[in-house]
Amino acid sequence: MKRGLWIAGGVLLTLAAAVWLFAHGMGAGWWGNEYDAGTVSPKPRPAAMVLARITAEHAAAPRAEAKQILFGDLHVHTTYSTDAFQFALPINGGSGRHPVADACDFARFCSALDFWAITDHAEASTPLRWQRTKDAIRQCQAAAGGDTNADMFSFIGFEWTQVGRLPDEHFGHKNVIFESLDDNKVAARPIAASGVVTQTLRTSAQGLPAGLVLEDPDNKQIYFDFNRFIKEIQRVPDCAAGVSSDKLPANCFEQATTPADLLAKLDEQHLDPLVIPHGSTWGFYTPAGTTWDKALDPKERPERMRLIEIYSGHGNSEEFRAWKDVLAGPVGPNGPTAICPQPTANYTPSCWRAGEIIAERCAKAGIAAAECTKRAAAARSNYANMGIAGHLAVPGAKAEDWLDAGQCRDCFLPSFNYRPGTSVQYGLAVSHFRTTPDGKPDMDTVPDRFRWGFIGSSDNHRARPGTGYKQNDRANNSESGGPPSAEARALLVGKQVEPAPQTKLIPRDELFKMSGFQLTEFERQTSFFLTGGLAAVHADTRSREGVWDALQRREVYATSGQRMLLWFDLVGADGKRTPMGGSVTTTANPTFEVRAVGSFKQKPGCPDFNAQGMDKGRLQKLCSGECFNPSNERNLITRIEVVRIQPQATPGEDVASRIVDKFLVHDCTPDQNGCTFRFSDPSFAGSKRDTLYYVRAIQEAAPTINAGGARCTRDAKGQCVKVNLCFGDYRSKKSDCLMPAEPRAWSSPIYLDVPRTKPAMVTVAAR
Amino acid sequence: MPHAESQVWKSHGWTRRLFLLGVAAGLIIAVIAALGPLRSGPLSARAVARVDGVEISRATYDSAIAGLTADKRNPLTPADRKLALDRLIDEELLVQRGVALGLTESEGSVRKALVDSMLQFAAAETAGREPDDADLRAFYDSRPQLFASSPQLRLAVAALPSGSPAIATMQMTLRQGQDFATAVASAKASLLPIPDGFLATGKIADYAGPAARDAALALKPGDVAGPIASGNQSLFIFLSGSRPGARLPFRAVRPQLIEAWRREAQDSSLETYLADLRRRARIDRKRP
Repeated sequence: MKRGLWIAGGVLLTLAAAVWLFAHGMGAGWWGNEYDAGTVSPKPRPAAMVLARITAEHAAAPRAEAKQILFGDLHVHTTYSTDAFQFALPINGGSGRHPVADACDFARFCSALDFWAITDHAEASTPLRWQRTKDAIRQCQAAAGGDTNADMFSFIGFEWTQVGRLPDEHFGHKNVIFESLDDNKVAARPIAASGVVTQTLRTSAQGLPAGLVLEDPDNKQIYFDFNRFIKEIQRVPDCAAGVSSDKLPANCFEQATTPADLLAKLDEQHLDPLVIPHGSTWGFYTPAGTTWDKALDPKERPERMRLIEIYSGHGNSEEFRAWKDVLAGPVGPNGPTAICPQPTANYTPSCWRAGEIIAERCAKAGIAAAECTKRAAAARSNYANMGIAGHLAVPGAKAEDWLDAGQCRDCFLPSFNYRPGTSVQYGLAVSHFRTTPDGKPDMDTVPDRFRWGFIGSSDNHRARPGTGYKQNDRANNSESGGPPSAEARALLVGKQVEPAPQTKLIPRDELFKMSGFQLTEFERQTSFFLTGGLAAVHADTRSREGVWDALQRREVYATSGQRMLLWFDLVGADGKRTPMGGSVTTTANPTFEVRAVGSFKQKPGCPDFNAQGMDKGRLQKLCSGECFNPSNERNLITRIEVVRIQPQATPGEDVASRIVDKFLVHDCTPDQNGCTFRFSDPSFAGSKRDTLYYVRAIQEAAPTINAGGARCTRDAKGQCVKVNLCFGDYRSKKSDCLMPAEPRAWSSPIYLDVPRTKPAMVTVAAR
Repeated sequence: MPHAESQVWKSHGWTRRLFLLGVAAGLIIAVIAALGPLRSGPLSARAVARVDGVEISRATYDSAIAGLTADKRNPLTPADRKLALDRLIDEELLVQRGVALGLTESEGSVRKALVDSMLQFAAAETAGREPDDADLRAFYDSRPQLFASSPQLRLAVAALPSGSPAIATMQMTLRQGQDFATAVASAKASLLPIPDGFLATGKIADYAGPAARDAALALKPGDVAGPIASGNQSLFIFLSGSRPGARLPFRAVRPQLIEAWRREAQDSSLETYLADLRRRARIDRKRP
């Protein structure tokens, strides 16, 4: 009997130790593997089949434009990014890891791009991952035919993922992309943004709980791997402070606080990459009230941001609106405060809606009207002062309760929780005036301004560059993911807070301690994720240098994902042309020429890769069976819109009045060969103001993933009274949530400067 | 959504917990049995433990210890070693119990794991053999499309509406020996905005569509082809130059060739393995 008890006790102790070992090992990432970047398919992209022909005399071809338009995607994540890995987990409805090699193969075989760049988050990088990323990109380039005459050009880059908790600290995300693939011509290590994101993704990241493996044992290995992934980031020691970036060892974790800091570190390594702001209006993480103004301070080196991502799978950042998401309040003991503004015809601030929700609950609970009014006001104030976590001011609020609050109702496919102060149009209209020694604005010096060229990107987190060619497979071609069942959602979200008829203020200090995704409106966001945009370049040659030079001289345009062809030139009196992205100093009224050709309609499925050697199973897995597969019929260009912006010439000038969003609208005659027209601005010379012009070429409407956003039911007054959100989780099942939208291309602006000293016309090379 | 790796989340909840409790109970009984009067003779030299007659080999134990050492910063203690062995014993007990319960037949995930492991095992059978230069050269020579870029063409393309009488004018002008520009002008055709330079075949599709691309690939420099139906238009193509696709030299792509060779070797060994299994098994089937 006694022996039996000893044995049983021993076994139980052993079991307890095994359970402890398992749980501890899970947290420490012991059971996980550090996975590599995958193997790129070495197969060539196929040529094409041959048709019958007639033959005639040799003859000279008419001369035409020599530059060619190449399409690419400079913003792509793989599961070497923490958030991408999270989305890939089965409990989030993900389909498993997506290594760098998958991104390469997708770009070559599914979307058939001419160029692309890897831009995983620096905050999740380790020396091993950076090395493997570089190796995979080189392997990708080799498989595409080397560096000359390649079927695709691959670039190495990383994302500096800066987020500020307050508008004054927020500069936003930047992609850093290098021209060369040589080790000594790319960063020694990705440079992370210090602050919120590094705190969330590295310093305080906890990994997944051991209980998850008991809930979903079939997929335990990927959960183990995720925890290992997190631990590996934490194992990299911080780089020593105060040491020049080029003197640091490769195996440390380097951080930069501001764009100036980031650029200084790149300078120390003698690097001159492209630094591209992106997702600028995306309120998912951008604090309400943020504007571009501080980023124009010369110390932040605004001239180094030659390009901006105007459109991505996270939404359109183009349009400025005069309404405010919050108003600046007085500075309190804990820093700046914010005030909730009134709604306008086309916009309801989310803070305002917070008050409405509390008022409705309060009335329903039978509380006196005066008290309910007070509680509503408190809710508005609390929301306005809780940054991107404002929604937590309304305990137990569901995503549907917010209706379409916070959204730009009359923008084209806008980013979620739109921030107009960081829109591209605002950035182009605002000026930074230097000051004289006595503190007054220096009106003799040219103000600092952004001179951006426009690109579109996917910002896809499933290793799928260039996803906009077809509108299918929302879960993989956009970021709309989520738990596959109610049980999984309950496990992730935790216990739901009961709706209460009063607001809750979470103090700033407490918010700072909460982890990143906990603060965001992720469930509502999934209704606003789109397929990706594209960057198009007018390249002198089909080469790495050709792509790079076009990006540098801003001879680029963005599309919302389709391969539209677009030319936009300033035509001088002597017939000399300055293409998009260029700048000219002149006093003469300008004349411009625009030509736009619609994209080819797509056929279902993939071209016949099987006969050419590409494995069918791999193609199905990689592209969900749908590739870029053009028919011979083009979509029609329906109209071309011209936007004119005259940036602030004196401090404090009203920004809204500087932007003429539809300076001209040209309706196009339906034609497969596109639409061409010329226009002038007879008021330019008289205005004596620096002016920029860009065009939007609009294509016929087509069903588009999440084009309906919150999908409102509106009352007679046009107000949203009910929403039908397109969730990424099980609730919206596998629907692609298609609604019609008009695809478009945005040219880079042509910048006209009035002469400061001599009024002679001088054409300035864009670079 | 197609699941690329079939990683579908399944909550097993209370059923799973009950199952685990059952397994734990079985485990306790099994361990007691193992430590008690059912114990049998001495272990063989290459075993570190035996569970119900099934030996746990030293190699398995060493591998577990190596894994633990790699994950641990401090040296292993005797307690760690004991825990590692206990874990292997626990594992073996669970496996035996699972087999006894018929999980390999009834539990889909177990079957899937078993099949996956067998696929890996079969593929790994050739992993030991590394290709030599002769293998790689033969591999490279037998696949001329590997590491080759597409040909590049220089061309002009003119378009006319389908069914337009101008198509005949264009054909007639060309047959009379007029040059392409004259024919385009006489038929009032629209010249597509194609760059005057060498274009990869994919780029030709971006500018002129896949029908034009496919037709152009069949031309020789100096040829004019048309009319080619493309959407609601008829195209005429003048090819003024072509460059064959370039291929990277063997030495430059050797590392990638090794990867490609391994992948194909694994695929092929799996096929052979399965064919062998099929040959040895007796399979009766009904017509589907």
